[in-house]
Amino acid sequence: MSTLMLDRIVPRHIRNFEPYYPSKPDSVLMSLFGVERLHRLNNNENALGPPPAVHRVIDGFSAEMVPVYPNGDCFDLRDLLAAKFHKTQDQFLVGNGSCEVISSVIKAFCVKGDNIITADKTFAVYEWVAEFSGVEARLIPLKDFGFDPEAMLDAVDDKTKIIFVCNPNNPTGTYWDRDTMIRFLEAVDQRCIVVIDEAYCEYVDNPDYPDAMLLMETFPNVITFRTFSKMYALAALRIGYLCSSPDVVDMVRRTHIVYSVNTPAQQAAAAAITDDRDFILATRKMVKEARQLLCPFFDGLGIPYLSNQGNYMMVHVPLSDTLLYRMLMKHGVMVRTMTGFRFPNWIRISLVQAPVMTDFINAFREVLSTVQK
Amino acid sequence: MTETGSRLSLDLKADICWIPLVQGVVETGAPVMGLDPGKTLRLALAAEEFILHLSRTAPGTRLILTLSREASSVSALFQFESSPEDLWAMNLTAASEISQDLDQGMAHMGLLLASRVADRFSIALNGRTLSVTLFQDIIYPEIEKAEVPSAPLRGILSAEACSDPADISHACALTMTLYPEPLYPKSFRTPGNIIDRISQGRFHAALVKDEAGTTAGMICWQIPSRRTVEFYGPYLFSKGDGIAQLLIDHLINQVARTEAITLYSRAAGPDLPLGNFEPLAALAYRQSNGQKETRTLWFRHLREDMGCPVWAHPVLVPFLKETYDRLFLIRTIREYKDQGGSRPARSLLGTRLGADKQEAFIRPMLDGTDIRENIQRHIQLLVNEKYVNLFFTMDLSIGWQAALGKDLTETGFEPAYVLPYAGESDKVIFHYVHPHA
Repeated sequence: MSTLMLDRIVPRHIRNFEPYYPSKPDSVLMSLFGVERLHRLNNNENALGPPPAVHRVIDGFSAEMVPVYPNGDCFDLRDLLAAKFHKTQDQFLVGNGSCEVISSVIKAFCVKGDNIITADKTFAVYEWVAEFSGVEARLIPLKDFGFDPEAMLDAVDDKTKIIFVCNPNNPTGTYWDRDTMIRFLEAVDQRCIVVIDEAYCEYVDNPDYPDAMLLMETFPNVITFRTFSKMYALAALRIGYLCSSPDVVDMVRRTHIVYSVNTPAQQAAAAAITDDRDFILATRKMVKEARQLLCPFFDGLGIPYLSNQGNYMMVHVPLSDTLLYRMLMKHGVMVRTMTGFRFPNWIRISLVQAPVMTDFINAFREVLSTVQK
Repeated sequence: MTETGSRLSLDLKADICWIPLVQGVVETGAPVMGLDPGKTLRLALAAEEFILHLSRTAPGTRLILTLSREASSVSALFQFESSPEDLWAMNLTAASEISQDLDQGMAHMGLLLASRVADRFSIALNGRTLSVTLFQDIIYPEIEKAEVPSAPLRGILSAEACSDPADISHACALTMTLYPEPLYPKSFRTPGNIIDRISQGRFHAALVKDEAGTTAGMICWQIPSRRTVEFYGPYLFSKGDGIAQLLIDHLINQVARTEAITLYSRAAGPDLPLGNFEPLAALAYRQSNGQKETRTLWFRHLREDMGCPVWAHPVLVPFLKETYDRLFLIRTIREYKDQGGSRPARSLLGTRLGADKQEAFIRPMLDGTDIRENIQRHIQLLVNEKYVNLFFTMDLSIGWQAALGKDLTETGFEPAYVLPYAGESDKVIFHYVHPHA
């Protein structure tokens, strides 16, 4: 009688953590839902695809390069990032998506008994990594769909090691303006690390939007996260990075896995940020046009929505969001349900090209009429 | 012997010489874990009879006995390697069979007694290891209904998790005053049970209060399986806009980032905000006076449905297709019926009997070639004892259970509803149709 006694060898915080099961591949979903095409409006991907320079990198990647390890710490890419943002190479760490750098930062600064602070309705990975690392995640309710600076400051104690601010917030699209962010950083007074996650910063063109790359010159406890998945459309390559003061990065480097970013990802990222101005403008234009289609549509139906920053918007639907998901999938449209973000009966829609948005509108209208019958 | 907090373990061999030791451990340990003297004696008797049974049917088998405090019960878990066929005497119907052939049945008399003196039992087969758990529930005092406060609510309302015994008791008493019995669990009458389960994370409650601390409503939930959450309520104790929605939002937000996929209620009352849920089924529930009452079951998913395969006997396929189409659930239905391979001779059905003979829940625990007759024997016994609603639960992720579709429909059961993700995939709950109904 041999029974593996996992409860004796697995820490309690791991046993209590709920595993995450990602979505099935598109081909499987299409087969299950009986559709021949699938509009992916669930992951805030840039439907324009990557900049032209990236195509050339991918096309030029030969099989002869496969046996060779990638550069272990993305030397060339960090060199380019340093030049682009007028910093030094040792201020950057590149990871296999920004999820990896989140993990590195929490490992570098937190031990069991410490806490991190973030919002209750934001990107879930800060909370997840903290919890499966045995670190308390203090989740502060959003205020008017935005991060609440006063409540977050009230939650800080001597065990607080990191505050995560998603700016703009995924999924609400709200952001702290420069004055709010500076007041917050001053109040934190370097008692802990402040991570400003700027995954969607390239989509924001408002003049009052704060740039964490500049703020860290004044506040050395600031770390910014950025990703190549959202604006630069390199999601399949999994590459993101952090930037901070050299001393902070030196600490994070100790817990950061090297060799985790593959060669095509490093080369594609380097190509993406070289001369990216026109590409960013074209993407912003696509997102703006999508908003101009969707907002009047939902206004006409009297359905509330949040249309702020980023390449997405949230809609408060008059039925269960998970039922709406299943019904839209039957029309070949995949949206993100927001119950998992603690916004029950909201959906998040990626803003993409007009023909796809029109398909979404038609499918949504049909589903709604089915429900109302 | 090892002891860790509220758990005691014995590692021994199935032999009658150990019976005094087992009795001693249960009689000493169970009161420390909160069981009263009468129930302790019953558990000691059940454990004794179980060892007696094993020492007769599988002498010398290595056996691990674990006595532990569960949320509101004390349990004796027996783990051993043996043929599951020997467990047939735990069937609710085994008594008559044993009494008809005492010579042959004596070896199983102990098992019969063990299962009868326990409040509940469960069986799991993992590889060749059988785990049989006998439960004795702790007795809690009953409470009276409470007077409903007439003062209006003041200020902003907010929902918060609650574990305070006084608050829980008061909210249970208010629920008993304002809602009919089918709409709340019978454990509301003994809130000590709920408080103990809350303290061990087995049950959850949230209250809405106003700024003066007046309780305006309650919602409760538990997690019966890895991917389902069952809730009770919302129960409203005051008039006020949005109390029910506050409770539902709180519930959903608490469970939204868990492993659970299906959130459901079998007893939601008139205060459920319907926009949040989908009707799962309308169940024609029989009452003891012969009248029927239709109860709507509600559910919602907590995340995107990725679909899953289910096994089904061909007779069940039309019902499943209709259900899955109506609910927009994506399932790959794989037909399965008895393949004619070798099966154990004797099956085992677990039966949970509801209060006041309103309902009995049967679930298949072990397959056997006699399972159809076993189902019939259970129906006959329960109908004779005047149980008015018989349910049978089938796990569609388990082939041999799915193959029972034909036997069930031919013995008078009808598929009533599908509970998504209640097992590894879905479960179908069958309802027995009385021939004279």
